[in-house]
Order: sequence, then structure tokens, then C-alpha cells
Amino acid sequence: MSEKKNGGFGEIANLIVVLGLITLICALLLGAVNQVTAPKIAENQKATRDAAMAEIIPGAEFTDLETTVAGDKTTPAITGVYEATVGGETVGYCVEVTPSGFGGTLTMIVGINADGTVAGAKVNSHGETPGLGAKSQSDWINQYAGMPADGSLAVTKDGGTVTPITGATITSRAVTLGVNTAANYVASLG
Amino acid sequence: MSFMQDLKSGVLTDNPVFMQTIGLCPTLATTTSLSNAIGMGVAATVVLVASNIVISALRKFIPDKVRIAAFITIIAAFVTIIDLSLQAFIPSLAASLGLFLPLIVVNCIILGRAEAYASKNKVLPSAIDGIVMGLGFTFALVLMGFVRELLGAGTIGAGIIGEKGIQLISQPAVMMILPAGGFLAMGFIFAALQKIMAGKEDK
Repeated sequence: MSEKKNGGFGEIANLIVVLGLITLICALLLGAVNQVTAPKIAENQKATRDAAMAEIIPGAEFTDLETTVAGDKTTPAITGVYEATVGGETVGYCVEVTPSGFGGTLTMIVGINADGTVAGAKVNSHGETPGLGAKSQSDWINQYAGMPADGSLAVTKDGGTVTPITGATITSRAVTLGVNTAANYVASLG
Repeated sequence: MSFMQDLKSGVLTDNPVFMQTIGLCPTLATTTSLSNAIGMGVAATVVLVASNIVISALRKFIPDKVRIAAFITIIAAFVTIIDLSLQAFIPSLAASLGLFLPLIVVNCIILGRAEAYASKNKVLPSAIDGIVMGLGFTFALVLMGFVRELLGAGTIGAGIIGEKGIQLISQPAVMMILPAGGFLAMGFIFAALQKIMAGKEDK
């Protein structure tokens, strides 16, 4: 590359201007793309959540209670609470919790019935190992339906009744913790 | 060189993964199924072609001393555009590629081609270089993804041909879709290709 200005202020100014211009153009481009995609991405996430909730408590209408609860070392954060109603009567709640699994955070929806049983659970996104922890998105998770929602669930290895995924105890514990956290929260609503 | 010769060079004799052995990290990490492999390959190819074109067009404008910073900024911008677009329009693919999509930024094939080719050549040849190298990368991913999905999950084309694909093996070796299986598949494919190539040269 031929350099007319060798060293000194001129060269440094040139470097700054060129890099600054490239960065500015890239930033403007990204801003424009984000404008287009952001609403669509939010819509997709809402669609995934709605589909999960409709599967867990069928036939109900969901109202966003717009509540979140920050997590700590032992309890995962709650990122959304939805009240399920049929004909104006509360039949249960769907809670979005984010327990930590083997490969990062799992985002899951837990349904709790008004009668104090687990309606069901569904893992919406995860970073678990394919073939092992990723099975948390299979039929395996259906076993939670009908279990007591009193925050006492545990995998068989820990003396509980939940059959863990073979080779993915950490994931199974995370899902169980998610269900318990949701159950405790709904119990606290009274 | 004609396009066909370029294509043969990018896919076989100078394949970025099998012959140049660059870009191995995404090759190992994202080839757990055929659909992931195709998704990653196509996404990386789009970024590669776009960044090659832009970097080639700007090659006289970018000062030598800050070229790496400028290249990375341009590549990162394209990767983010692809990432956002996939999340918006093909969310299932974005979910399964996960973290590896933003990590295309550090895929050394892309920076490597920018540095070794696009910064020294005109726009059209750079675009062609991007296409053939991208196809070579995709070819390698597809080969790995096919073998690992077949042996590790027992299916072909899960997520492409219906939700579950075609189930061929009822008791698959799960290890093949774990990281160790990635290394195993890569080793055997490398060995087989080297053998085939060596055989051709002898004749």
C-alpha cells in the first residue's frame, strides 16, 4: 500500500478519520437493521411463549401480570407471570423462569393449576448438550404434569420422585428447580 | 482461472477446512446435525461474500496500519445483520445455532480471506473467492453434519425432512454428537479425503 503521508500528525488523523467513518457507517447500518428486526424478534418470542402456555393450560386466556422477580444464588429469576382465566375465573398461572442448566440459562414456562398441582412445563430455549440435556425439550418433561406444586419436587437421585434424564442430572435438577420456584411464587400469591 | 476451476479449488484441493485446516472451531461445534451444518455454512458464506466485496472495494481507502481493525468492524457488522435477520425470520435456526452465530465474527476463514485475498484483489474476483471458499466450508460442514447426525442421532435431515427426519438407526451412538464425536468424525473424514487426494495425484 502506498503511503503519501509518512508518520506525524497527518497519518494519525487519516487513520482516525478512516476508522471513524467505517465505524459510523456500520453503526448506522446496524441501527437500521435493528429497527426492522426488533419488533419481529419480540413478536417471535411472544409467539413461542403463547404457544407454550396454550399447550400447558389449554383453552385459557392469559393476562400478563407484568411481574418479575430477581433471582439469587439458590432461586432462579422469574421473568414473567401470566394469569390463566377461563370465563373470568382463575384456573392457574403460567410462570416464566430461567434456571441455570449445564450450558447456561434455560428459559422455561411452568404452568401451576389453581388446585395446587403442576399443569405442565416447557423449555423454550436452552444451551444444553444435544442428545442429553436437550432432551428436556422432549416428552420427558410431561412427567411434571400432575405433581404437587408445593416446591418440594426433587429428582430421584436427591430422594424425590422426578425421573432425571439419563446422563443429564444437572439439566434435570435445573428444570425441577424451575418448577419449584414457579410453584413457590404462585403459592405466595395466595 | 475459470469459475469451475475456482470452485474445484475451493471445495476440494484448497478446501478451507480439510486442506487449509482453518475454521475448525465452528466445524466441530455446529455440525451436530445436517440442518445446523447447512444453516451455519450458508450464514458464514453470506458473511464471507459480503465482507469480501466491501473490503475489496475499500482496499485502497483503508490504511495498512489499521486494516485488521477495519476488517473486523466490517465483518462484525455483517454478522450482526445476519444474526438479527435469522432471529427475526428463521427463529428456529437461530435458536439451534445459538452462540455460534455471533461467533462467525472470529471465524478465521473470513478474516483470513479478507487479509489474504480481498485486500489485494478487485471486487469481482473477491466475490467469487468468497463464494467458492464459502461453498468449501459449507461442503465440509455438511459432510461432518451428515456423518455425525446419522451415527449420533440415527437420523438423516432432522428439521429439514419433517420434524424428526428419517430414522435409520434405532440405537445411535450419542457420543458422535458430543464434542468427542466431532473430533472423531473430523479425523476419519480428514484421513479419507487425504487418501482420495493422494490417490489422484499418483495417476
